Amino acid sequence: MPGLILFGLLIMLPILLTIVYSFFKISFLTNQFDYVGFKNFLKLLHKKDFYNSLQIVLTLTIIAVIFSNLIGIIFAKLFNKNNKIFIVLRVLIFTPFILSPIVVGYTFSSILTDKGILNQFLNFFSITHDISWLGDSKYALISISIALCWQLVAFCTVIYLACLKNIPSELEDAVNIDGANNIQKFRYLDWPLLAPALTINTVVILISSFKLYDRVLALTGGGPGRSTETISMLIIRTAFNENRVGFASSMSLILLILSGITTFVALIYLGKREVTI
Amino acid sequence: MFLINKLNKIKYLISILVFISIFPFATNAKDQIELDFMVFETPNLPAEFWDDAIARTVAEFPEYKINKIVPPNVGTMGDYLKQLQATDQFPDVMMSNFAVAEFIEAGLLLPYEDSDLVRFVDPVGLGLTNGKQYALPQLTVVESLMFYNKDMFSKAGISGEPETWEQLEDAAAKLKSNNLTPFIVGGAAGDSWAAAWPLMDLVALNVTGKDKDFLKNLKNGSGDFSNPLMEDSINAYSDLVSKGWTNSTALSLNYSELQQTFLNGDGAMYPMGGFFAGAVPLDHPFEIGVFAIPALDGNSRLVTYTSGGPAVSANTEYPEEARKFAVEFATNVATNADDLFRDAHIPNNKNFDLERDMKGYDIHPLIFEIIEILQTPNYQHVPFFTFEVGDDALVSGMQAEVFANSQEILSGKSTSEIIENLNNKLAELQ
Repeated sequence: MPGLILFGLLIMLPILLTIVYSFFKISFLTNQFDYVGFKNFLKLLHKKDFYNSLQIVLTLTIIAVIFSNLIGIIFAKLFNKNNKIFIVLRVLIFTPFILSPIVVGYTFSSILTDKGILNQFLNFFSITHDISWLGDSKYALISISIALCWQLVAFCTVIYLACLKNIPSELEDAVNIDGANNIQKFRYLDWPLLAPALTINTVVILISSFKLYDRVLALTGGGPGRSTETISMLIIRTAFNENRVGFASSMSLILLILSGITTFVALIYLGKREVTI
Repeated sequence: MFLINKLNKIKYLISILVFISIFPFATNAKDQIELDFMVFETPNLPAEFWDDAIARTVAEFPEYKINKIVPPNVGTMGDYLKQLQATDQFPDVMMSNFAVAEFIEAGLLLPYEDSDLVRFVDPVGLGLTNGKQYALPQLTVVESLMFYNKDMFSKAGISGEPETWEQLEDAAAKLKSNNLTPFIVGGAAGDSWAAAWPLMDLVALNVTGKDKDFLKNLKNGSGDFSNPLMEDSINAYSDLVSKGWTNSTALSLNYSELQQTFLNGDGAMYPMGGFFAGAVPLDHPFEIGVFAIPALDGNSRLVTYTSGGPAVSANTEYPEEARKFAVEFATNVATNADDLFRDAHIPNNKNFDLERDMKGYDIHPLIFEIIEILQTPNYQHVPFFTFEVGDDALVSGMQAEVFANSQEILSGKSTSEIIENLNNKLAELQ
């Protein structure tokens, strides 16, 4: 019972309030609270900024799902050894994930600013002229995805490593006796058995990317202009800068539905790939 | 019996705890006036400045206890206040370094009495709302200033300070042909307000300072940003970018890096408010000059901001005391002097005497030059765009859009796209 009360207060109540608020015109400044029906949702259909933010979030999500999983698998395969060094490395690789996203944001901003470590490194080897990694809208989204993937790779690696460790040695022995090379071993043994890890990682990445806020705030603040403004940032701006809490709630609700559907589809689709030993 | 004894003991314990917890409040309610005071910190006005200023004000009023609140970023002070209001933590007193108009409209600020304003040289400042002042006109900042590197000007063969927009463009062309970056502009992430500075000046000088009905029309829905004066102002800013006259680093510099870029000698001109003068060391390696940014039509206008003092919450528990604190804070001569020295904020205090009160301060000559510009008789003083109050205030929520679109100008977006963005947001907010 106490668990149910806590769940109701901390999870269900805010969701229900968001649903209720999305049908009202609300301003915390003037304490305005007028029922407007579906007007907020209709307005959302014509809001260019919302589509822009949706596109940004989807781009970041696709990049994060592909690269975090890919690099995570590579790292997991490389670190899946019983040597002491690799045991230490396995602990270290998880470190980025335990850092606060805002800390990661500021750390990357010191690396990616015009006079930052990356440009100094590139200049040292005369590789390129100064690139404005955060100030040029062509590169800003890429820079954010790098910071995002850096943190998510840590999580993916650990999950894949745990999964690799669970592959029975008998199966590996059988594959070795059959004379499979490394690619064949990965294709026919590791990849099918890593399916549960892929599901977990993909779902976690989807959820993290859809609600992305703090790293972007620290890196670009949504700029230049609105070129990296995620939906969460747009929601905060609409609610607190423009005093349109009801409209912002309708965006939150759409975001919740979108991330819910995407996660559900991913779970069903990826779940089908999972095999049991 | 044992249970009764235990309950009695608990009862006594609770009584003692209740007495202890109530006692300090009982005495505090009588003796201590606790006020939450929001200030802002910048490189020129660090924590130490505010702590000293608060200490000076409360020195003669020991009954005051001031809790200093600092927003995460000076440019987002208004947003932070809205978050505090939404969570019932609106401060009692706040420095009005944000667009106050929407807070006045929402009834969140307390109007000052006429008696509170007698100490100010100009009691009106940015303007009145329904005949009332809501933010003390503590200081004047000259906003439309162009600081310039005198060495670079002489290297490019520029003899005098530009007095018209055409002369400014000629100077920029000469600098560029001498492989010098003519303008240092920018403002990244949370400092988008800095990127908007030239646009806010250009619009104030050429649109709102010229067409008195422009903002009123925006407010009542009879006008929008598709206006030839507005187009000219945006074009003037975007031309500086498209001609390659601005620094390529514009959108990756935060405010302090932007300031430092000019101080490092990476560019010849720096459009910024007078407060920049407070950041120039007396022994700076090159000489810096200053002139007023010319209006596009050749008329003499100067963008000024006379306000910036404390505003008081309409819901404060201590309205009289909060107003008294605000007035004392804004007119403390020692604080005014420190503020002028550090941030070139020109005091609007009748009791302040430049010669007498600045003794002991090594003031940068630039500050005197700015005061001279402010006192030049033929200038029409116009309010700073996006910071207006009263009937002439910009529609609430538009300021952030102006800031973001200024970054878009620096990214190379066209004037028509900028105007379309501003019109879309205006339609949404109306």
